Amino acid sequence: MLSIKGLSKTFFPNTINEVKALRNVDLTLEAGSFTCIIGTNGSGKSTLLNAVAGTFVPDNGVITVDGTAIGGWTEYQRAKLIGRVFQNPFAGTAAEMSIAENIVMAMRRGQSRPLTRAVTTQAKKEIADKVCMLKMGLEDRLDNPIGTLSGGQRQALTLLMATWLKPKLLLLDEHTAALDPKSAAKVAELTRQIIRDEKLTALMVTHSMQQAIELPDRIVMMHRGQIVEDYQKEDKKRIRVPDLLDTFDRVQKKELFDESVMQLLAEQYV
Amino acid sequence: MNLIIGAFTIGLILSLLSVGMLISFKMIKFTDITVDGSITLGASTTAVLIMAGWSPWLASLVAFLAGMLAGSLTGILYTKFKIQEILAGILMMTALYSINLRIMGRSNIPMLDTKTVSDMPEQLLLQASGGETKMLLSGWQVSLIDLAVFFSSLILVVLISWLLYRFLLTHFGTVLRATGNNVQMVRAQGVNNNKMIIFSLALSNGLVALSGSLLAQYQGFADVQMGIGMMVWGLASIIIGEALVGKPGIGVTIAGAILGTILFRLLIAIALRWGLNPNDLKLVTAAFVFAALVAPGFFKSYSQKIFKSRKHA
Amino acid sequence: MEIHAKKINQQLLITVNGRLDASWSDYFTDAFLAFIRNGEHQFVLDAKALSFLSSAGIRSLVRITKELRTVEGSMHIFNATEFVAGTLRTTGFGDWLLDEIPAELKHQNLQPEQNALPENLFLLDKNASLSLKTHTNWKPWQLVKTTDSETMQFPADSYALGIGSPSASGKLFGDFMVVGGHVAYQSPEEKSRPDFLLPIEAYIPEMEVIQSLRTEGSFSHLWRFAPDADKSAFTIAELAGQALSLTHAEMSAFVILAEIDGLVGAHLIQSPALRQAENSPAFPEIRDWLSFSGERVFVGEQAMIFGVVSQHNTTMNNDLLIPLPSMPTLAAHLHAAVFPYQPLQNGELNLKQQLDKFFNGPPPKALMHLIDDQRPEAGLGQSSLIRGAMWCGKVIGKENKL
Repeated sequence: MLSIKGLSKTFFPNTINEVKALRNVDLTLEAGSFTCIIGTNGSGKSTLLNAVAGTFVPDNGVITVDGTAIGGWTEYQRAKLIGRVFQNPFAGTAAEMSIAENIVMAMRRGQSRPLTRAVTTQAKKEIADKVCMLKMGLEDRLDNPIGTLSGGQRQALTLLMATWLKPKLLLLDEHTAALDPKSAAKVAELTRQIIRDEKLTALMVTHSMQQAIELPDRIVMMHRGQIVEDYQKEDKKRIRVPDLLDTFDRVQKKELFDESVMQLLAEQYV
Repeated sequence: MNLIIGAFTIGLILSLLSVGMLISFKMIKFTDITVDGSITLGASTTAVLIMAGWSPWLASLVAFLAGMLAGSLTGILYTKFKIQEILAGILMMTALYSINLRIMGRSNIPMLDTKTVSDMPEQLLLQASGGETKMLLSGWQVSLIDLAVFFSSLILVVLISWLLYRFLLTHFGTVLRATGNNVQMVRAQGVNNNKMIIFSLALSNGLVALSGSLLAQYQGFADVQMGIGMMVWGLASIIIGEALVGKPGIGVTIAGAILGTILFRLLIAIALRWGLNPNDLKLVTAAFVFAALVAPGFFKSYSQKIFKSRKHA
Repeated sequence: MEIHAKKINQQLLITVNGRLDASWSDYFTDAFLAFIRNGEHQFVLDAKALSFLSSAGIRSLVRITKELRTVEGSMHIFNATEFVAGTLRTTGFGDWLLDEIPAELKHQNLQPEQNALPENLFLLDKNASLSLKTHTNWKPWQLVKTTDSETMQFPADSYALGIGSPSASGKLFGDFMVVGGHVAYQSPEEKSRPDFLLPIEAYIPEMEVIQSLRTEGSFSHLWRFAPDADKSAFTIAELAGQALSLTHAEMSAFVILAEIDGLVGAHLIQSPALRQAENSPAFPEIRDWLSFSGERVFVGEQAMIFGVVSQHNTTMNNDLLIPLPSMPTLAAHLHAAVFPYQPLQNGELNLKQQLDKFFNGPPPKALMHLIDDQRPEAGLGQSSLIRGAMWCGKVIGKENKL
């Protein structure tokens, strides 16, 4: 469903702040699979997600969603194919507008915006039915400004909005990281439920090892702009949190293994 | 009484300015200074066209379109060329000063005995009164012509506001409002936020120019200086409107802007009647807007200080 | 809750003030486990100010007693209030209670405090020694030939280290060590954890070995080491030097069981048998063959180390003994297996019993070849240990097998 080939991006090239955020990354997601990207800070995991979302233009590489190369598409053009949930719970909704108005906008994601009334009785009924599923009692508050809701509620609604029209690809950028633990658990559970029920193809970035173990079918680990580990199918099933930590440890060890270490081992490792 | 009707009429005409500014300032949260230029643009275009014998309706429409053009240029400066919003507005406003002079060919055009959009209601009213030019309204003598202008402005403003209200409730209008709220969200919904900004500024300045057009027809002249300070007047009206109606739905907000403008004009009429020097008017308006902008924050921090000192005590 | 501890003779007098209930039991347990980790195994609890004891508190005491049982320690309670004593009696733990204040504590002020260091030396068998066999058919990084490997059996008196593969695993040559016939082996795959082969009944562990230092025999000395005010940890060079001086030998073999202050080491992550080229792998390819710990690792875990050390430049020269950069007069080779921490009993320890305990407990976390990292600036130093036991013996009769 998503195919990334040879994706590279260097920020601030040829300056002292040069960051090779992505180095020749290849990644293919099968339709209906749920993949999680984990990695240290600055490993390039969010950069990869943003490259797919179209926030910036990569230096090299081809991104294909559902067979269409979207390299030349702007961020809003990609929204036709891609649903997104952001880390900031306030980023996915318009605070001063009502719940119904926010959702109505998501009901035409990537489509034309005709000059007909947006929030009709019909639409409201449809919204109430689906919002009911969140079990947050929001169906009775559809006309309230969304800014009056908690971060967890807003993030749940953002998730609902991003998946209202079945996206070819759902991008989740640490979408539970800014929530309190209880809300985070609820939103994580909702994520799992929606992705499973709608058979969505999803790519999630997370800091939480626990989430990476529990939610997806596949875990991709990034380090220094490269994919260093890819656990899928059978491998994924046996992976536990300590294994992930071990892998991080191994990756870091490789990092510390420099030429002086080689010299050292040549002398002492017989 | 004539004075009051006059104030009401000017208030109604300028409420199109306030409503236009509502779109840029409140809906997409864009501090648009083009307004000072585009209101004059509306007036100058109308004056020239009417003097050239055009129908006042057609002239008003052209004024509206000219305003839209000016607004969209500001939008393009901002979105395509990444110029800061205030600077984009200043550039456009400055450019419009020369353009207005070019259009008019001189610094002002008097329009005596020309047709205006209120001609038809005037005729109707005169016919109905059997040729009388004045009538008694609850003991006051009122000029039928003034009354006709008042009513035609009222009908026009109500009609335009209603159309705008319906528009803002459509799918398109909804994303327009969201653009001022959360650009990232709007983009994630597949909307070209730059286009929305350009369109909003066009619509906003179109309404402002239409306001200028009607003002020129009512006053009977267009002047290259007439736009100076109009943005602040509009802002003052919006603030009064907000104070009147609070911050509920869109319909009420629009109605609030209209009422605010009328009330503001009445206050000015009264102040002038009481002997306020017209030259001080803009200073007083600016002081008022300053007070309105600063007061809420000031009171808040003041009450916080009291609260804090109590806590410490 | 407040916990105060005072060392009197071999006993630690603990005074507890407060309630031992569900909200304090974890804190109480952790405090006690820390005492045990510090080598305190005999406890007397003054419960005069312990006002309440809930079942969570009893569970905590049971946990501590269990831990103490593994090190033959003890815990007794005196001065208990009626409530606390009653609770303990009704729950069947009345035997923890002392009727009166222990005599030695009564006169505590009269007796001078003795040196609390558990450091000690035991002579196990004055005549014990070990024989050495060196197997160096394979030299890094030659191609591994079939003739390089030898199938070795490791009976109960064998202690060895080297590179080999369990006979059934084919050519998966990785680092291994043998302690008293117990084999710990690090499979040469990046993701895999160490495995082990145990001598069960008639089975004798067997390895295909391409390189090894192998000793057979028994140890003559046991040295118990623990930190004191001047010294917080013991480096590998110090311990190896101690082994040589205790055994008065040019070459010694030793087994160490100890709490880790930090290990520095490397291990194979790809079997040398897979190598196609004759030359040694260059940088950065070497990173796919060897893993280096990169920092001081496994702090607080338990290490089981086998090593052979010799005075450098003696007649006992050996290809597999490498001069220690931090003490160039010594040449040594050490492999370490890392187990989750468990406390060691004080006093004289039986190596066989300890081996059974460790190899039947949780599996080892890692196995590595210890490195003395004295690189300028970046150097991580030597591996070092906090407290533990070292069995050592003299190595005689050098016998090189080619």
